[in-house]
Amino acid sequence: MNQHETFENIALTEWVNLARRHQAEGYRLVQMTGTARADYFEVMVSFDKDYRCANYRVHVPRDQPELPSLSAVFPASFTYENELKDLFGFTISGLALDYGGNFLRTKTKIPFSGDVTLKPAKSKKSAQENS
Amino acid sequence: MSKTTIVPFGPQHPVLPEPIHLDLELDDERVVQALPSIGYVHRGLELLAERHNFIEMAQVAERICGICSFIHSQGYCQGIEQLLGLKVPPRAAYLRTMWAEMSRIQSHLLWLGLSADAFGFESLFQHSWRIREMLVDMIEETTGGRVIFGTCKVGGIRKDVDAETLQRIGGKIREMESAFNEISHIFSIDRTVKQRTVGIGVLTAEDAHALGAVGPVLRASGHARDLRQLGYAAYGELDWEPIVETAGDCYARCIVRLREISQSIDLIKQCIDRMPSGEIEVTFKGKRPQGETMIRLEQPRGEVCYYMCANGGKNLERFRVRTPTFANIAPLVHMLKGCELADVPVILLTIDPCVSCNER
Repeated sequence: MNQHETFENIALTEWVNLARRHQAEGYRLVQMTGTARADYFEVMVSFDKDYRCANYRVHVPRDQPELPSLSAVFPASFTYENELKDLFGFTISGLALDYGGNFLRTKTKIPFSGDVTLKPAKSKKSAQENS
Repeated sequence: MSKTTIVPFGPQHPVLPEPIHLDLELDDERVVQALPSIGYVHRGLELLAERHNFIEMAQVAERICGICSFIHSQGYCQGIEQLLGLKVPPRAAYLRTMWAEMSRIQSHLLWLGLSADAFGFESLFQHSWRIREMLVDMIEETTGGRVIFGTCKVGGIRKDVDAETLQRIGGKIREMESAFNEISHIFSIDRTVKQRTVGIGVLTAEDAHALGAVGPVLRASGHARDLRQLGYAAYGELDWEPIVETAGDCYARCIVRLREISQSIDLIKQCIDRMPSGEIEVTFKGKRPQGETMIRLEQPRGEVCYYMCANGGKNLERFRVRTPTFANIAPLVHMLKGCELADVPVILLTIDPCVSCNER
């Protein structure tokens, strides 16, 4: 197996410039994903060129989940950014195609924000008793 | 002054075996904009990885999808093996490759049948699925399962295939090949198929790159990008080249899949002919995954990515799957813009959407 990959942490201020640089060098956008950590949100973006995958992470404060959109650089990013918006409650500035929170149909609004407490499922017996 | 109308497409629709929704904004019969929405059958399998033992999770990963099930477990196991620093034995790598190619054939034949049905070509639909059944029987003969193979495990494979069975499979794959060549010819030359697909849903090479298209959608637009070129499993030792078409329309995507079936048949034959002998797994008792990795494989629908992060515990800290269907939503939205309403089902089908993968 021959998977070439790198991981690097970057500052939020470098986010768009990094994408521009990669786009100019002929990279394509592979994916973008978010993770809710205890004190911050982590967003990871991956670019690929000649089967080499470069992954970059930024930390976004939980109380200010804002991220500039990469859609002007990589048009493919709009689906991932809408996903970040719907799942983590991000505000994405400059998003080319904003579905206004209607891209992912979730039962709970912003389910991965970290502020959601799931209710325990009712047992069959108690459900029957209530009906 | 023209007035636009919103027509809901899905989540239940004759061409959709699984739920995905599109709001089609129409000007008369022409699509002005398509607004997709997903999330109807989300299962939270990624979160399960944070709660289940990393060895058991291979079983769950296989259940992400019922069509490319084996490749999901293969990707998951490859990721864990990377984190553990394991190298699977050559025989396991060859058998993984053989089963992955069987998955590709059955997935493409399933898709060909569904598209023939969407064109209104019922007999071609039935023949595609008849041939697929021959392949599914071979999967059952070698793994014991028809949908979930259950043969991939961290460190290798769970079940070996004896030489006699491999020889029998070699004969059956040749029978299947001759049956497939007949329908492949019809798909390629038939007027009905061409009328519904040629020049429809064109995605240029530039747009395919910019919009992050993957798999047959990307290769039908002229890009020779296939993750199997990374050489994982036994691909680095087999003779093959990515299948590429240049027209970028629905017909080109159809032809790429047809040619990929022939290529997969050839790869299976090569695996059988060159099958190494020896062990089928390596042990890693007491070892636990640590670090992070991004494993990428070529599924029937395109590039799938598995991000895994582990801290030396028995569970993964983070597991993320980016499926090819998710990557192909952006190109789909672009292709639907400006098309006729009647072409929407055909264009949608030619990205071969797998909602089950998407809603992992």
